[in-house]
Amino acid sequence: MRILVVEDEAALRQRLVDSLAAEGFVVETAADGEEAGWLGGSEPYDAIVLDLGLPRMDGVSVLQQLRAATVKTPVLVLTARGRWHDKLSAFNAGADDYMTKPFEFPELVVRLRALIRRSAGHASALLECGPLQLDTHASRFLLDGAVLNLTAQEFRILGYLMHHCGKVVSRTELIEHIYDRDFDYDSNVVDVLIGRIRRKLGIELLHTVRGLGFRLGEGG
Amino acid sequence: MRAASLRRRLALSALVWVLLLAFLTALALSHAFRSAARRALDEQLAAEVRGLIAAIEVDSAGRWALMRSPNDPRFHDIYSGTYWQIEDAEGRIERSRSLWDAVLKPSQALGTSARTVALDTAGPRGDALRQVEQQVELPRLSGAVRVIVAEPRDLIDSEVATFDRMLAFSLGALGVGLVLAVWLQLNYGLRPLGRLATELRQLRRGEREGLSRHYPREIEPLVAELNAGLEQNQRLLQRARSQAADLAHALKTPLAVIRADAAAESGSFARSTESQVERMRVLVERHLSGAATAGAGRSRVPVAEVVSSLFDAMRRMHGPRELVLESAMADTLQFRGDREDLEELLGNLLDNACKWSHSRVRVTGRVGSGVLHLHIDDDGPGLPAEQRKEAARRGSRFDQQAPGHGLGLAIAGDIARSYGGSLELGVSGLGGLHVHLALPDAHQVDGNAS
Repeated sequence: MRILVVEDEAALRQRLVDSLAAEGFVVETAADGEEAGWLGGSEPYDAIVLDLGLPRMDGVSVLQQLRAATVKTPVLVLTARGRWHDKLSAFNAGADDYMTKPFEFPELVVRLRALIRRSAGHASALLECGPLQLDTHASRFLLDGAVLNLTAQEFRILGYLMHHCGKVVSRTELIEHIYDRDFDYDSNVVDVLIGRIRRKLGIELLHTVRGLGFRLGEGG
Repeated sequence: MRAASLRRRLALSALVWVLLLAFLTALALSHAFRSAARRALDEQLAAEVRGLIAAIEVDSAGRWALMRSPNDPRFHDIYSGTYWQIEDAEGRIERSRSLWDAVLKPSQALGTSARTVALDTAGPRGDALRQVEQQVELPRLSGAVRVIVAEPRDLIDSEVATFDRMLAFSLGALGVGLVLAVWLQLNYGLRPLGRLATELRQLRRGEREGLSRHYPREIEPLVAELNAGLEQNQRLLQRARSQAADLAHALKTPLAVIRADAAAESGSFARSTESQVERMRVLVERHLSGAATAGAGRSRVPVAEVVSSLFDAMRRMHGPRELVLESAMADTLQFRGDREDLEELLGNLLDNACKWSHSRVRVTGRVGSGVLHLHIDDDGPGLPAEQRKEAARRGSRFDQQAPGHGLGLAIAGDIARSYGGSLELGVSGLGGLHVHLALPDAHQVDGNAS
């Protein structure tokens, strides 16, 4: 899952990057409102963590700009502004969730995961795709009830496909949500990882749809 | 001590002034009338003296006699007070019958002056007389003859008294009329001040934004100053709010960094840092919320609208749980005050209710005798009785009495109190916590709530 963290305070930004990366997210950052608006409008993030008090352009304006450009990426506002007036204007501008600083990091992760899940149309914290289950709270895959051991990169790929169970996900889309902007799209790393996941699953669940991409789900 | 009313002050000084002027006028007029009446009497007496002189005949022997005596009947009534008397140098005296055997006392010795003299004197029975005397030299007569005519002085006195009564009556009427006119003039003149008071009252109730500009030139500077003061106040409030927000930002971001660092560590130092950060967070939230509260009525805020936008926010923030949020109040229900304050007040209470509820949160609102009553109910675990009682008794220390529920209730309580309202806790019909919010000076347009 690829996240954009918009925070002007360098110290906090770094800690957010470190902690979210440790939770398996691919994290990119923006330090001001203009950069956030530009990145959020052009890159396919799975969620945006947005501060409100930003240089150049404030967070609410960034949100309005993104929503006006029909960007549907879920946005979690993470700000020092705790007044309900600020919360209402953020929600009004199109925010999906709101947390005030100083925050509990585990809560941020839970809310962020719930947000991503909800935006993909899943209500429950437990995603299912055939015999495969993803417990988003515990961050683990279960295959027929048994824990599946995956590396961080394998986890990200399977996690993204899990959120889009039954749908064809193109190679480009997968790369966009799994890696940051500097990834070499010609690399065959993804194909290698897909092969490894298939072997770990051991059943016909992860299909290659020729010319289109990959699909997770039962049946050909 | 309360200062005397401006109207009474002005009316009183006008009254004193009118009374003083009326009194002085009466004095002057009465005096003028008295001297005019006296002059007229003197004139009449002098004419009679001249008549008497003309009636004196002197024969060839040098003896004088009065050819015809005046025929005014009062000269015949004994001691009537109307007398005449003629005397010569040899001591011969002719007098009116009214004098009988008494003598009028002349003011000057015979032969000293030819002037006509008028004077106040006493009659034979001690009655007050006005007397005019003249000495004449007649042909063929050796020595002067003195002619005196007198009339009672009380003739003037009674006339003057009649005049004074009339004068007092008309001046009194004039004074009453003047005071009445002053009173009316004051009412008319001070009407803008009454209007000013009404506008200030409306201002406090939030029925208007500022004072109108159309005031008489004398009050206009005051009104302009008041308007400037109000605007200044508004600016200061805005600045205080933005400063509070800035300070919140400045404090909370470092706190977030410290908390993140502490969370990454294990051990007692990290745990104590985390608990201290939490304490600081509560303090910052609480006091910055207090600083940002306007606590004063300016505009009318539709309550249902605020509740509806808060419900929308609650559904997002408490996302995956299927919350049933109900609102029962008239669309016309209004809160008289600052919109941000109502948002903060209800936001905290609703967030708290949503946080603790199983699935249902209900808000009801109505107006009763000028008080806006808002009830927030949830079906959560509620608060034990002693915690509720403690919270109610200690008032401003909700946060320490009911941890978890704490901060939201504390902030809401602070805001309610800054509006002169109250916040009470009870057991909800839904099974959880019941919060009763009473805010004074509420207004509901078109009357009845449903």
